[in-house]
Amino acid sequence: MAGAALLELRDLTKSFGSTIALRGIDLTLEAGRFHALLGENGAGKSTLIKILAGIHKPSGGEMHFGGARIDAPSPAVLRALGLHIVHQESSILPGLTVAENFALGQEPAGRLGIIRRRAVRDELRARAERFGITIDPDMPAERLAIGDRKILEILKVLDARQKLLVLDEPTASFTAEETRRLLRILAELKLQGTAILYVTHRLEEIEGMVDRVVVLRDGSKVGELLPDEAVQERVVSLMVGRDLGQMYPQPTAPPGETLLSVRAISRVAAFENVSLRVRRGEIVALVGLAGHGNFEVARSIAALPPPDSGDMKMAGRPLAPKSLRDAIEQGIGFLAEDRTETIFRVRTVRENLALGAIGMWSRMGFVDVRREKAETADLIRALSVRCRSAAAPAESLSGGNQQKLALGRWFAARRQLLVLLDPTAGVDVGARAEIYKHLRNFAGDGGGVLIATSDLAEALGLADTVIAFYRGRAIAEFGRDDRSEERVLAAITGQDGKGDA
Amino acid sequence: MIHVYRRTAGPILLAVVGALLAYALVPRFGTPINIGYLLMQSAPLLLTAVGQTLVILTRGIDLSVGASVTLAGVLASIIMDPANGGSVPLALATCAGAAIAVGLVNGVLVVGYRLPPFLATLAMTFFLAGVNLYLRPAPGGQIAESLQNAVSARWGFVPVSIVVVLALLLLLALYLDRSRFGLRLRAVGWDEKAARLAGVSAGWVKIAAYVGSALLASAAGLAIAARTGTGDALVGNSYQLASISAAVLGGVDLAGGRGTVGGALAGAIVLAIIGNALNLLGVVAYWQWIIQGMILLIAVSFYAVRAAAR
Repeated sequence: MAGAALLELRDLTKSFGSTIALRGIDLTLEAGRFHALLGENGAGKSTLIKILAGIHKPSGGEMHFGGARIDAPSPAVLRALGLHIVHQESSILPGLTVAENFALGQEPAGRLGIIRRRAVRDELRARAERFGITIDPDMPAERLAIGDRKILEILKVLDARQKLLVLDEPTASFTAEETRRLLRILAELKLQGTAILYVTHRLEEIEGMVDRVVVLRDGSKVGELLPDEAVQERVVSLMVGRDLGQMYPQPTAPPGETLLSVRAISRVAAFENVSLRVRRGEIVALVGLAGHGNFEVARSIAALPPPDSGDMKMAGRPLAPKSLRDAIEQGIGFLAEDRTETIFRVRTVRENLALGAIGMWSRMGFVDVRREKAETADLIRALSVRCRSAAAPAESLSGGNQQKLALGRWFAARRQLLVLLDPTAGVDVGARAEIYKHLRNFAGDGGGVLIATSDLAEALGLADTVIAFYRGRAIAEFGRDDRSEERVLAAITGQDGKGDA
Repeated sequence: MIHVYRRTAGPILLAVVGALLAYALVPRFGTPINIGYLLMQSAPLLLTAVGQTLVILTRGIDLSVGASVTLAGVLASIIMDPANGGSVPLALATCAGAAIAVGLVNGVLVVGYRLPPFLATLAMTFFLAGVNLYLRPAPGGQIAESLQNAVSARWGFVPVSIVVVLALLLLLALYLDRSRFGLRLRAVGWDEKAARLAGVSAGWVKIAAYVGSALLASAAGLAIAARTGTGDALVGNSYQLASISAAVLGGVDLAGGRGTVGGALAGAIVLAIIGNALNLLGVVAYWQWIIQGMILLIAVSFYAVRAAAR
């Protein structure tokens, strides 16, 4: 059956009022094939998925499934045909048991609506066995790891009629191991003849599995590539619609004097005896698997919470912040990985930018409004923040532009050292290149940048120094010349023989 | 379903401890007459507390419970009045119909018009208070003898009616634990968006919760009216907040999703015991309010501490 056309979209169009979200999409998904759908935020991926889910009705064009035209796609009709969606947001409720989650929405029930619990358990076990997974039906779902929750969602939709499975960025917060497990299950499904449509930002992770790469931009399909044509640069330039040039700008001068020096800091159950330094003009990346200490060290430098022991110095002066507020006052600009913690969604672009520097722009407690306006206007230009106006609410901006606001706040406040956690998580590839450029410029002007990141490619491309963490220790340091993905990966997984040193 | 029982065990323990304390410390608390009276008195609170729980589980709140209690008594006292024909079935059907209408309007305001539940049901409370006073400006009317007799029938000192109410409510508890509706109700309260993604029509679940709450309040109103024999436009007022207190004492989380009917029943019994014991001790009314407020605070802090510890 592999290769038979299963779902066909012909000249599919969707508009909301005067905005066109999808224009003339032609797409064929084939049984037993793995299709990847790539595109920046706003390219139309979500709209397309919502149409496949029956949530949105197409404004024009045709949908065919198994050779028959679907005239009135609705969630129920599409599900009955065997088209299932695993949405980006989890539908798993931590307060219910695994079996309850599995049954929810499609409970097999007898008269009076009493759920047949044995049938639920048996079905869950049977489906899990198909993929060699063991799962305890009576366990509270809150005890499942993020990756297992997604797998439970997949098990949930894998009924006998399963023909097409759509996954919307399933691995967004996965560990590498969880990603591998998910992909093993998908490979099995593909063998069994299911068509897969996999939406992702990261082409790397599905290398070797993908049969077709479809790229969307501004609501149009701009490319459909075979695996060997889908090299990173080509896909990215299709997604962005222009050549990004260099994704990772290189330093123009060697680093200067030491800005931050950290000596033998430890925090119970987080990290131990960590020393590092950040020089002016330098970008340092802390990498490691979740829970191995790289994020914890970055947080502790910003006193969230302070380390239990050890010394830190900032530009030669002792740095011992008791709170984040202290750290900021001593010249550190800090961004948490979760943008909802840094951006005030309902406040304006200007307010978000001004927040860090408002004290510097005030006299006797009154904000110098003219200066605030001028300085924030300069920042909006310098960072090329795409917004309707400085008075637009931050939530009207894309994720990447919100992140520019968060960074701009510290640029405005003239901090010397930026401590950033996953600074480009959920940011489009285009905006990401801009953020890297701004960080490089900040360093070039004599600042220091310390990032903790879970994106190895980012660390290797951007940073001048990469420090690998394993079991709470900084076990290896790599300069620009002596590193490769394999070596760093070996270090953070404890496979270079130094892990237990 | 272990977590369900764990959630119910605390409040039941609280009720048992409360009963033992009252038995040991309050003279005449344990007499058959008092126990019978206490059980009889607590029936409306049990009914409204469970109704309130249905709504709170969906992350809502039903402030119109008290006004619905009153409405049922007022309607019954008019229709059962021999001067108006005195048909009991017609009265019961009218009360049920009115309750369903009230619940539907509450539900549609919350689901369809996206009004905050607090505001929607507060508006309903004002509306019903006006209707109640219009229909029954002064206490009066008459409740059918058959209904009065049915409610006051006893086995020994145990009122039959409370046994029936408790049995029905426990059945409801079991049903919510085992049924499709019960699972969806909890799912919607936990995380409405996730429940929708799983294919649950969250709107209908919520509307059903408001209808259930109004129906149970209506039953409570009938129970009160059958006991007093007349209708009164103010009789249900105290149940607005008492039903919420009972649910909270029973471990039902105002943030939705967490809580059980069994817990709410236990919470209602605790409130009833406290009120009864304080009456027997001759504590004046304002002290009763203060003490009830303090007990509520203590119970809620206890649940909060326990939740944080987990």
